[in-house]
Amino acid sequence: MSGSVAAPTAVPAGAARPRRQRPVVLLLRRAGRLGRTRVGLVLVLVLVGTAIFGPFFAPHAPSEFVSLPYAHPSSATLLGTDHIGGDVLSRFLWGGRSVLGLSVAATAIGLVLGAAIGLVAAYSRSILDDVLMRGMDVVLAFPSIVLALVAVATVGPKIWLLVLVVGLTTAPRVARVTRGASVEIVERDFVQAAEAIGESRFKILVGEVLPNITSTLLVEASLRLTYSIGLIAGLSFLGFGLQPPDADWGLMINENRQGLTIQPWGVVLPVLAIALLTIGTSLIGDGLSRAAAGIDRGGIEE
Amino acid sequence: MDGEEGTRIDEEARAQGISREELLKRAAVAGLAIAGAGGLARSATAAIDASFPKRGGTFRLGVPGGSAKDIIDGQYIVTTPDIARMMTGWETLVVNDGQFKLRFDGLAEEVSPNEAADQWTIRVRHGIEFHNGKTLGAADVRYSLQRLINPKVGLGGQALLASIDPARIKKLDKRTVRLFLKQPDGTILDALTLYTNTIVPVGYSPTGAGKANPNVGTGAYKLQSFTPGQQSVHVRNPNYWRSGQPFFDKVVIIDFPDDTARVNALLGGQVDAITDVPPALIPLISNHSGTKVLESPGAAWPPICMRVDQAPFNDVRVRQAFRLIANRPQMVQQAFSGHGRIGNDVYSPFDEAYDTSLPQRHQDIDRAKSLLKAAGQEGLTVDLQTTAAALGMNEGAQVFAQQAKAAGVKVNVKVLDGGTFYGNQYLSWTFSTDFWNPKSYLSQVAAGSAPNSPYNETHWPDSKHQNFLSLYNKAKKTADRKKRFAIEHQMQKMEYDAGGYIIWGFNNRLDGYSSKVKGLKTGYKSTLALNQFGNGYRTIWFG
Repeated sequence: MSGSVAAPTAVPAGAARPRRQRPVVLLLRRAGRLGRTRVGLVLVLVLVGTAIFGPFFAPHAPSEFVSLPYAHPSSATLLGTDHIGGDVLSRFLWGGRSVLGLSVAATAIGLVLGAAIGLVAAYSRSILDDVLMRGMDVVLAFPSIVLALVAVATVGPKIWLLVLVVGLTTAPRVARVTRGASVEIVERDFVQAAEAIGESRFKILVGEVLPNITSTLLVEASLRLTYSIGLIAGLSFLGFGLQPPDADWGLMINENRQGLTIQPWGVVLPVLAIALLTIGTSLIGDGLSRAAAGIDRGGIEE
Repeated sequence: MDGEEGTRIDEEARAQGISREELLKRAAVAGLAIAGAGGLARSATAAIDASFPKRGGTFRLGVPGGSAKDIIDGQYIVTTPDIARMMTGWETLVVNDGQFKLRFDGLAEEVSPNEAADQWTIRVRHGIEFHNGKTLGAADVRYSLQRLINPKVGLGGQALLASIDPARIKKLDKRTVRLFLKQPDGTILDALTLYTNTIVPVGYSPTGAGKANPNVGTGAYKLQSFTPGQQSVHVRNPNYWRSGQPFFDKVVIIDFPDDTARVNALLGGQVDAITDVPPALIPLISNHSGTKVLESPGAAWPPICMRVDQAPFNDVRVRQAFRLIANRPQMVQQAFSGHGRIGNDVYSPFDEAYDTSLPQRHQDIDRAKSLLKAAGQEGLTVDLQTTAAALGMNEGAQVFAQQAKAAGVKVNVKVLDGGTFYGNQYLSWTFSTDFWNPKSYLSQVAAGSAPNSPYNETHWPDSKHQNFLSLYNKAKKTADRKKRFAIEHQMQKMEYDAGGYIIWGFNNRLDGYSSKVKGLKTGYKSTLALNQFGNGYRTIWFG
């Protein structure tokens, strides 16, 4: 199917590795040629830039009171004030870091955990496979927002908990995809050869199987990130994320929704940001997956 | 039967955690109206509507909250809409007017104590009929008081009417009863103004709404239909005892749990009036032609509560420092959008007994810092638990947290959901917010500032101020108002100096109404919405 998979089994793992990286590079290159990926990339870069560098440009501190609540835009407050008289623009510029940071962290947890479970399940070829995957199905059966609410209601609104729960609800989907992709890889000759020379299971999984599914995982990662952003922002909206007076896009929507008809910026801005960010990551994911499909079909020419 | 059902409702509320409605309920239970406040010496600013009252029309009122737990009981409320509904059909013996002057303008023509204030005589007016045609008499008064204070019924009248001995309410004649109290109580008259302390017919029970025990009162409107969580319809009582009143043919009370929906219903003409307008939405109503905002001076308060028996607040200097941290004008601006006034760490400002001579407390960061230093609490970090149960709780907490930074105090605001906040840990939070509706000073002490109070968030009084209780008991027994006020001032001074509340502001009452509704007054010191719901929907009309 691909050059890397067909690598001569006798070649030591170290020598094979540089060549195994190629499909990922190729995937990114191919995806980068698609219009949707580029649009997505621009959106994500703009919003990530806003989130990371925004605070340096904020005219006020995020928790400073600059005027009466829901004041209209003026020269001092370019986009008006929020429900308690804070500057909407400043809070917006400050409020992206948490959404972004928490989502990335949650996705990372979900990805690592899901990939590990999927790999172990695929490689075990035993009852463990069924146990793990049915366990994942059970987790999948619960709507993730419900799981998150239960956890937060039991332990309280803690940031680490939020990340953990979103990560955990992400893991089953990643695990399914990982298992699906690796279940035929583990039957390959080079895996059996590695087994024959007595490599440890961990080494086989990480060194032989994982590199062959990185493209799949990359596509999955961007899709899961989209999902995490939505979930994190949703939970923040419900008040389970960052606590006031900290600024956070999800929280802003909730805080200012009452004033939507009077001073819409406090809601419109974070809504737009979250929407464009998720659309951006989603487009990138879509581009990656199309590129990956193309690679699968057409093999490697470059 | 009454007992079972009353307790059940109460237990349900507890089991499910107390939401905003239940909170209102408990405030009401402990005495929501400002009982006992004589009128302040200020002159009435009421702008009397000149147009002549007209009969007819259906008055539709939008009220906040509401759920399947809504009830109609002449003496009990669970949710906020229950208050609006109770006001249609049930009346008290005596009432407070718009300036909080006690008036014999209710069902009683006389309520008077003997000299020792341990016997009270109550005589009701002649010829008042309940909705089912039964004439109001002494037996109804006795039954009503007994039902209110019966712990088995669980209506919570015990707190305010605790001195009444249910077994010793003697019928003197057809319209007169005499109460022989367990101990002297000079505040009975004030307690009887509370809007839930109404008179119901003998054998009254709201679930028996069928034949034997109809859901009737003496009020201006009779109950026609009721769907909990949705709406109720009340029709004009043709035999109402005040001649000429009421004016509407029908009153419809509709639940609107969502604030924006309620405001939109008013703007769109689906309702004629709404209660509890969020300050942020005022411009929508005032800028819209045909709708107006009714703003009344406020006495409801969302305090920040410090537990006087727990570190760090068991040190009075920390409490004093925290009170000095509060920039009250800024809190009123940011949390109430300016629709309120600053507080002075003492509750019940409408009460005649409120001590206006206590100097207004201002922000003083330097003194706060030195007090904290003296207490060894520099750089203190505390969690402030709060929930969005009432206007000003979350907002006040947030503004306070910001102000505390200047004094080197880190306040972590923890916004909890209502179920968690009012769950098992309610009343044991070390540092939290809460909210109270206006009440007279002594009623408020009974409800929230004595060891046996049902809702004492601050656990006041601390060990150093135990004489607060003996003062309270002394005040309760003192029928002479001047002497009683002097004692109440002593109590207020203690709380002003060492209490556990930060009472930073009182929010104004804000309602919205269509300009065709006449009879609403400005400057009305109202404890309930829309000028006490048009005094039971009888002093308002369509112009």
